[in-house]
Amino acid sequence: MSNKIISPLTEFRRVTESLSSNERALFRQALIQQLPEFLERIRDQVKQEAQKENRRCEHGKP
Amino acid sequence: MGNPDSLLAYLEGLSDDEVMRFKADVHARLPVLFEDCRARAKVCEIGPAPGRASLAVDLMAAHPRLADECQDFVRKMSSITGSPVDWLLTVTYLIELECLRVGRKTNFGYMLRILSEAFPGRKPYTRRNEKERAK
Repeated sequence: MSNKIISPLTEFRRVTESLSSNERALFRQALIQQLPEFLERIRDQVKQEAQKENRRCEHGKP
Repeated sequence: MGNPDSLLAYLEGLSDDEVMRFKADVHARLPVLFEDCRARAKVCEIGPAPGRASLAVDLMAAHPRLADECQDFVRKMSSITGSPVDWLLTVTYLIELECLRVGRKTNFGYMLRILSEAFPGRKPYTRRNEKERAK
């Protein structure tokens, strides 16, 4: 990915400003549909990473 | 969405460190999700394939090195589209298009194979759990 740091709000505005009203409705539908799994997936990954780190610490490998 | 209580539910059971990491990851990946939703709105294809939330998010999560290996492409796509994340979607949709063209199911494994063939001479892309099994 590019090294640019993107603000999600800025990105949201940029992405939606070029959409027609019909496309915006579709965008909203897609976002509502995908957001729960998106958050769930990140949460699971964070948990898995933390568990891996804990195991490494328990084995004395920093 | 729009309900702060349900968003807070994702933080339940996480330590302070994990909450920070969760927020940072969400912050970093939301633009990709927005791009994905925009692309879906443009092609009027809202529903993801069964068992898949977002091709772009899946690919990014599974293959962070894809970004490193496509820097030239990233730069070109960024200058054309003015978006630093469009490249991933473009790759993803090209792969999906290729899957549809040859009449294959657009499954993740087949997409990874096409991706590997697109970058010959490099280590093939495989699923994360396949890599762990190989160790």
